[in-house]
Amino acid sequence: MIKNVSPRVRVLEFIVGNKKQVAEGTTEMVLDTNGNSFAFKPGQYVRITLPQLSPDMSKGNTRDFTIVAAAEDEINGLTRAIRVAFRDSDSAFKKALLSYPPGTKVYVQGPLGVFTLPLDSQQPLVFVAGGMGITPFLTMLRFVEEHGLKHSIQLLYTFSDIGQAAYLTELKTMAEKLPNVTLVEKKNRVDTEFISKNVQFGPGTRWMLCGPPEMVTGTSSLLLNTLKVLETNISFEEYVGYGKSAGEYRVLAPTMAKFEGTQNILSEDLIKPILDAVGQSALVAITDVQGSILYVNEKFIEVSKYSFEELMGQNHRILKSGFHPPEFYQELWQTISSGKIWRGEIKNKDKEGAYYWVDTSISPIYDKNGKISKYIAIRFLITDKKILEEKAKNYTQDLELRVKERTVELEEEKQKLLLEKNKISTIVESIGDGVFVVDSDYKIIVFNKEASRLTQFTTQEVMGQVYTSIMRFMSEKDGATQDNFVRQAMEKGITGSMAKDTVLIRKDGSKLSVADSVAPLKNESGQVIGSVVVFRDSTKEREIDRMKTEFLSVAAHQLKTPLGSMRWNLEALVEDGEDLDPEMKETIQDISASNIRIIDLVNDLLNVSRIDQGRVANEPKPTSVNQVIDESLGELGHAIKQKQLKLVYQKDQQFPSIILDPKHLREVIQNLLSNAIKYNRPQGTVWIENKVVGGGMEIKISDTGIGIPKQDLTKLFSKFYRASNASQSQTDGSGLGLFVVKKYIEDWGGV
Amino acid sequence: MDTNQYILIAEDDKFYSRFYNRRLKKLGFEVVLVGNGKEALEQARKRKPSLVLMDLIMPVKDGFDTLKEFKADSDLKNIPVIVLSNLGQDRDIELVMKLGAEEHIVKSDVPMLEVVKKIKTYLK
Repeated sequence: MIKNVSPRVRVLEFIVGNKKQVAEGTTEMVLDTNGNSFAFKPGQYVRITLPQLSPDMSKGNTRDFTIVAAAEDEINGLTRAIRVAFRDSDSAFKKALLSYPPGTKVYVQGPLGVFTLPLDSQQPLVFVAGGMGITPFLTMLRFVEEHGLKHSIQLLYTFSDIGQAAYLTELKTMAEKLPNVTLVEKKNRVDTEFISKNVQFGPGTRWMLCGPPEMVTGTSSLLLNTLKVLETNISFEEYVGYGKSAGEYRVLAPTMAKFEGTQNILSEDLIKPILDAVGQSALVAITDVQGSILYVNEKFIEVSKYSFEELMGQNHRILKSGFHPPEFYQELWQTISSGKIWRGEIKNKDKEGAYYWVDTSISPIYDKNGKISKYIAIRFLITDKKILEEKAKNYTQDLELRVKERTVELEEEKQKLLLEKNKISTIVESIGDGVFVVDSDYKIIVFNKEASRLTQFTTQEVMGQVYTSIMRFMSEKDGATQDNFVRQAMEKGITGSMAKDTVLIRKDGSKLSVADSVAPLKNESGQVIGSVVVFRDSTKEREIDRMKTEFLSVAAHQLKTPLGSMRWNLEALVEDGEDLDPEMKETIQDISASNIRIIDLVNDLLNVSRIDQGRVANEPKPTSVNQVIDESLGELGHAIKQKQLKLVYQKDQQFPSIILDPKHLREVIQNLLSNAIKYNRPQGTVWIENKVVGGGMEIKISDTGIGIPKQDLTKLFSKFYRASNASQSQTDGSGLGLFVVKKYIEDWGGV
Repeated sequence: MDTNQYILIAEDDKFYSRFYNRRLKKLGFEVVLVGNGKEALEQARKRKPSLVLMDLIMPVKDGFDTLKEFKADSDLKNIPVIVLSNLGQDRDIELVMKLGAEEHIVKSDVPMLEVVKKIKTYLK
């Protein structure tokens, strides 16, 4: 009787056709569809009921058979016939079926089951078939071949007796022909090792098992254990084709199972691509809490040179290089077992004994209950980097050595320089005058002890400061700042000195008379890089100077009295001596003349000393230069006439009045004019010219006189100087005149 | 010269004194010589001179003070005073003129004849 059939499933009459042997004790029987429309998917089965039920059919007259499809069974898209394959056995059912001649009607229900070739050809498939469980897969494969499908299929075919392996030859041929189909034969059972060695699988691989119950159950639990490491949520379909119990094969109701791997962590959209990418360049390994390797990626295998199965289940210890002390690993385990990520560099040893370095980070993985269940280690090969580091270290050491050597050399040089510097320092310090040096920014860079003593500032106080902010130099006369001397030396690059009346304001505010010399400091290329100032307390000097001048003044003054009375007495003699001996007359006249000369000299001395001391009264008022010149000409006119000199006076009528002391101007003009007259040749010429030039005025007095020898020019304006040729010209002159002239002109700001 | 006229000369230098004595007397002037300012004032008060020749640097009382007193004294102030000194500094000359002297002459710088000329002028 037909039982266990869904009422919706049709019952069709098929006609028994031919049969043939496909393997030892294995028969394939054709069943004609008898005009029924029958369409099935590869892997589905039919339920066949025999027309008669005999009492020795212990399990009834209905059996399930996988439909074995053959190409020739389809004509024009219509299924003309189906095939079933089964092992010959002593069962009454089978015997009866086998005995039916072609043409016998049998009752067929189907197609039944959903054990079919999945539509998605992206999903790799692994068929595990045992015994007659091959039949659905055979149909699938034939279907793949016939329709040129792209399914990636690995067929794991187990059998106890190769002679009984149905369709093996055909399968082999198919596997050879089709690139996406692989056939793996296995006598008897499969185990984890066999699977991991011979089957490429990963998450997303669909497993389909078909075969005797113990094979299916056994394999499914095997797979469950293997795939469990990957946190697989497994749902499976198993098609149990034939069951053997009590020596009889019986068809069991199929319970569909399908294996599919879905992995918690690794199949999430983001994590998988990340790990895939990471896996390209990183070694990835997953271990359990004891450190046994559960998974390694290809890179790991590549670097460690161990195979997948050599690593699986092994403790990570096999990679130990012996480089790290036990404490290293202890610390590592402590870190990760407390839930923290460990990061570090580890030296490992590969299968061939070669060493490699990896930059490692290990993180714990938690299970659903929050306990650490696994560790994932991601490692980057840094052997090259380590080699470079080593090289760099060596270079560094070498460099350090060389630097040390060089440092010693430099130290020695430095010592030498220090000694030199000390020498110079000592010299500078021992100089009895104050010395300070400024750089191009006028900042003090050297300041000796004497300078400190004179200024009352310590070296620390002044170092690095601009000198004018510390030392104030000013004029004794009017308190005006007078610190240009350094700038002059720096800018003009020539030596110089302070103005004569310079005083320095010391730290306590007291004034100190100072005199100095300034010199520019030049580098090798002649550039001015600073200035050296050597200065001293000139109080005594000035005092002496003053005393000298004072003495001079007093002396000159004292001289005037006797000279004065001499003069008058001599003049009286001259006047009274008209009747004297001509010789005597001349004598007295000469004495008188000499006396006048002395008086002149004394007056000059007095004048000079007054000017030197700055005691000359200066009463500036608007003065007409032309008028002064005229007056001077008036006074000297007589002398001009005497020498018969020609006077050329280019008077600028518009010559403006200058504000100065007219007495001084008169002195200057008279001095210059009288020189022009004195040193002129008889019948020579005197030119006077005045004009406005630039921002000032020019007064020119020239003559056709004896001139001034060039070498004397610089000394011309010093006291008492008379040019070398002056005495030859039978003229007299004290030599003080031009000194006075220069002083006045300088005071007016001229040259 | 008027018999009542005389020149009072205050001069402490021996040589100048002697010169004045010789020369001025020779020229017909009556001359009284004193050695310092104090004596000059006493003499002037005793007998009024017609002209005073005053030196500046003198002991006891110098020319400045004497001149001041002369010009402060109602009896004496109208007597012309010629300061004959060797102090040539402008400020000295200024002071002298301010104090009322009629003339200031720097002895050593001026010929004798000019001094005589000046004296004659003031005695007219």
